[in-house]
Amino acid sequence: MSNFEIGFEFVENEVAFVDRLQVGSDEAFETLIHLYQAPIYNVAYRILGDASEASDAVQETFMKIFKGIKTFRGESGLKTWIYRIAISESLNRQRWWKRWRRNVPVSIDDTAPNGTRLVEVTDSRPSPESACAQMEMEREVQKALNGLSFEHRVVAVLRDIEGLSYEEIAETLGLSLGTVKSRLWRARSEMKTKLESVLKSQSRQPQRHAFHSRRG
Amino acid sequence: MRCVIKGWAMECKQSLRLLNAYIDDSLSWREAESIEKHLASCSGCARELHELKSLQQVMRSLGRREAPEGLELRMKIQASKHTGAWIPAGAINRLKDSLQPFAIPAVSGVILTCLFFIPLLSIFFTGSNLNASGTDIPSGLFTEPRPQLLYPSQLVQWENFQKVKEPITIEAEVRQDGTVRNYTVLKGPSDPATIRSLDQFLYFEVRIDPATLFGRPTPGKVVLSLSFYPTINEEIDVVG
Repeated sequence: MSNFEIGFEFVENEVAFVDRLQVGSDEAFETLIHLYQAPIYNVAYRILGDASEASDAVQETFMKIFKGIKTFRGESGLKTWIYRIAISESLNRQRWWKRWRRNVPVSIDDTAPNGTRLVEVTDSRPSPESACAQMEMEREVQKALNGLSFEHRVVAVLRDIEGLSYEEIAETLGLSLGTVKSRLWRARSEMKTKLESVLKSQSRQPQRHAFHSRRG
Repeated sequence: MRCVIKGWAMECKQSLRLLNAYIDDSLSWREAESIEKHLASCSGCARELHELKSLQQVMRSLGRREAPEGLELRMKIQASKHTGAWIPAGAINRLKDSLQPFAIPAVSGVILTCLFFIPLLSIFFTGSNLNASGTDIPSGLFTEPRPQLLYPSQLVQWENFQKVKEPITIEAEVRQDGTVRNYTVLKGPSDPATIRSLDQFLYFEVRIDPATLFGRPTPGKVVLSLSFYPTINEEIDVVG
């Protein structure tokens, strides 16, 4: 269960929460920021592959959420509505990026990773070697993600990093379930090819846990 | 699942398509069971599954990228701008939203009403002009009939009138020679004795200057108010 889902249980009743947001409750806004800031930043970062771009995308996303929440009718879930805004904002930023900064070399390490981030990664007490290996692997994965087309990248990020269900992805992107599945299949196939060396080294390590222990 | 006709190749193709859903736990129990059977006997598909699982593990192990410090604070500052003047703005917007569907019908209604009533209003105004009497603006072109000085006559039975306490208002049609052609009691008693006395008075006694149009006598109408007092029974008040 991701942090996002844990946070969402805390909210309990989404309808009441949206009502409080719509009347402009400070407390509800704080909760919203607390719950969604991290996942939105993560999605934006994985899609854009750049920290400052991701920060801008998060700010724009929240601006749109704050403005748009009063017209939110609950036709889709709050979570998918927010993800939809975040993805459309990321797409806008990516277009802008491609247009204006195409030739600037992009580094995914433009903000130095701090210790707390590394603590979050699988091992609770990483040795410097494993932390380094983890960083290297993350760099490779991000590079592979950046090499995917936007629609394949979005599906891969939402499913494999954010852990959204097929239905949630379909609702977020306004696609049919079949399209989501086929895009995910293509994204994974491409990722496997791009990350062949990483996966081989990974498969040499002992497996830590069973994968399909959780559903959706 | 097992496709006997097309053989093992087809089965692998089918199984590869389902492997993604299998690692995402999105298959039905029956589908999952049949794919597991296939995996037990097909090393190629098992290898594919293993690679997919490795990829999934790698992706999951990325963890959540930490947002830069201060981003949350910036969000909260941004939020505070929206929570401040929100309620009135929200209320206004809600009102706008609720009125918006009526905007076009309301405007078209007003326009249609104007289009319908403006011609009618002009008729009303013209009508009032038509109803204006000739004396509203003295032009000399038309003069109303005017009663001459009235005085009692022996022919009129005044005792009949003396019983009448209230004024009698009549409208008389006057011929162009000044005699009364017909009359109607608008207000006052209409018992036979009074009517007889009024007939006597109006047809034989009273003289009226006829109405004139461009200086020539013409038939017209006049309204007279006759008052009779027992003490001064000779006085007849005439209002033209």
